[in-house]
Amino acid sequence: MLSIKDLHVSAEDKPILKGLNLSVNAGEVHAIMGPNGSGKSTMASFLAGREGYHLLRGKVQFKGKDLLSLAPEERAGEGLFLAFQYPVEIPGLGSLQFLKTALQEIRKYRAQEKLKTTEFMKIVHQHAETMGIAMEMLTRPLNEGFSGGEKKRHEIFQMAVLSPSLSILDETDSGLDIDALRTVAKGVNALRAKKNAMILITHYQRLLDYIVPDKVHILFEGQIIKSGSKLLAQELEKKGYEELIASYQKKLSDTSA
Amino acid sequence: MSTSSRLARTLKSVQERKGSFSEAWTKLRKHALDQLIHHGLPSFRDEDYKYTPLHGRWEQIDPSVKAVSSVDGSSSGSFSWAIPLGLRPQEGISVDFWKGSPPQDPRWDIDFLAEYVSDPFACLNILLAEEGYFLDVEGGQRLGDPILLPSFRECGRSSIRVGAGAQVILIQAEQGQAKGFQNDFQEIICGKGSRVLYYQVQEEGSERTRVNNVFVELADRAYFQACTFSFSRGMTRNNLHVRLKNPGAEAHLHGLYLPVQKSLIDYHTHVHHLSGQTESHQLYKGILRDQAQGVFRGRIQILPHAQKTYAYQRNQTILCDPRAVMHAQPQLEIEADDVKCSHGCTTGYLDKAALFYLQARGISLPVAQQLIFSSFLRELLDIEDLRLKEYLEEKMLKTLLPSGYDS
Ligand SMILES: Nc1ncnc2c1ncn2[C@@H]1O[C@H](COP(=O)(O)OP(=O)(O)OP(=O)(O)O)[C@@H](O)[C@H]1O
Ligand SMILES: [Mg+2]
Repeated sequence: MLSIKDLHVSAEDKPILKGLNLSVNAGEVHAIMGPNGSGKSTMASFLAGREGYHLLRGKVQFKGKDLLSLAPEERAGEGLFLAFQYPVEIPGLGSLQFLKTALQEIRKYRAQEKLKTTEFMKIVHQHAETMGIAMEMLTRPLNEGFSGGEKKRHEIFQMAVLSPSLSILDETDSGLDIDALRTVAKGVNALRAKKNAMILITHYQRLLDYIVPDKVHILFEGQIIKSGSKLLAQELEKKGYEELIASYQKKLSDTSA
Repeated sequence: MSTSSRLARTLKSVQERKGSFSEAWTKLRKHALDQLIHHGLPSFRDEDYKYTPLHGRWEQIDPSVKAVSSVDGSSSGSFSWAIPLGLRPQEGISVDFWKGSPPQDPRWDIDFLAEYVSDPFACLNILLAEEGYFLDVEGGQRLGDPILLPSFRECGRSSIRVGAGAQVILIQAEQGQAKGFQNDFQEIICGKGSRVLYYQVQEEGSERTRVNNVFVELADRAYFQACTFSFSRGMTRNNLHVRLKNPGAEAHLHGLYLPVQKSLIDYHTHVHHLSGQTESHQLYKGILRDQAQGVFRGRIQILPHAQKTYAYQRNQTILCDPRAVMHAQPQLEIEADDVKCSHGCTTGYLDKAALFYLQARGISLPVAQQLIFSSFLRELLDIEDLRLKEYLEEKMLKTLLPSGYDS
């Protein structure tokens, strides 16, 4: 579904991604872990099409299409979804109006018919209930005055309503209390299906107890330095990054020697 | 042409203006003329007209050059639910139209006008007004349907009086497309405990220059709301002067401006708290595209004895183009000490992070912009008259969406 090959990306002349390779198949859940500043959010935002990055080298294919040639809204139309590490507040914009517009625009992109308001509301009610989102919250302007946890929960609610085929969750678990974490995991697991894939960016093993990943990758200085099964996350939780990074650097100097 | 020779020409044409004037009007005309001679015609050197580029428009403004304007079609088509003023007799209101010289009428408060009118365009209006009306709303009348006020081609002058406890909704719509200059003056006197909602909808074409002088007075517990929605394509200058004379008076002044291309929309407000326990709220918001310009100059004046007064002012603008320019300037003159007063002006570019957030959810760029803009302006569309609200919402969305885009 997603294939990233030798991706080099810079921002303001600073190289951030330095030869990233990643391949995600339909039905898989991948976790990406890595120290602060290693480039996780950059990868996520770049894939979603945020401005301000410069592609130096590399290719990204999404469902057989050249992802990087598409506008951000076209990427969403193709089925890509990014749950933001820091969701944006938009003063005055009602959550429901926002979601309805998003859904209609995606349907328009896919040459599908417009959704009737009653059908839209049915979808909203269904997912709001699963995600424990009160209808009162949906009448408020988007993310305005939402608590940190509410914003994250709202991101997953949006994901559920838009039903994307590839979701990238950037630290959706950070700042969540244990109940909210369970709710978010429930939302993610509900979307988990043969035809869908997910990339979870996280710092904590905790989330992976609820959403068991097929693969775990460690990102360091813009490269994936180690990949493994869910056991890798557990190992990391015990030992920290230091040992992993040291052995990676040793390997590097060995090969260059 | 130099400003002084332009002034001489203007004065000449003023003097040639035929008509018989009452003694009082002759006195007022003399006052206006003295003011004009003393201050001259406004130029960018005047603090009040610094950002209102009148040069290049004098050919339109100069009364000696008769505009080639034709009478524009009435705007009532767009506001079909409102009752055009004077169309048929209406219980509780009386209307007197006049043409030619201002009639002798006790309702003109000449001394008052002479004392307060110093703006050059207000003076020109006194000298050149050729048509107008008196509208009186009887005390205690509660008129449900809005009244559509007539608009004049060049130099109209109207006087509206709302009696004690009366309620009325007024719509002043300008849709003139013809080339020309319009300089009108409207006074609205709100009686004790009256409630007056005054909506201005400006949709003039790019060839039009307009100075719109509105002068409002509020008695005890009067409630007045002015909402000026400007979609003008030419140059529009709005002078709104509000005097809160007695305790309990409350004024809400709202403005929404969406200039495009090379248009300029200018708001000069002057809120004058003459009495304690009065309240004013000003909210002006707009979006500037292309090379458009916006001006907001909000003056709040609170006299020494006007204690327990509340004055609030906010102006927010989004610029969509680096060539667009906004001039925002609050001007506070507060002489009382027991006063609550707050003000804030912000001008900034469109929030890129917000835009990306919407795009990442599949919303195309033009629609995403429209959503952000309309959310920003929403608080100004909290309008009681639902048909007007609907009309303005549609107009706003259309203006905010690039042409040819169908959502
Ligand atoms: N627009 C930018 N301009 C300059 N530097 C940037 C820009 N965006 C990111 N960076 C830098 O790139 C590096 C990677 O940032 P990124 O946000 O991707 O890290 P991260 O792995 O998500 O970290 P965290 O775990 O703290 O969220 C950091 O050093 C950051 O300062
Ligand atoms: Mg990050």
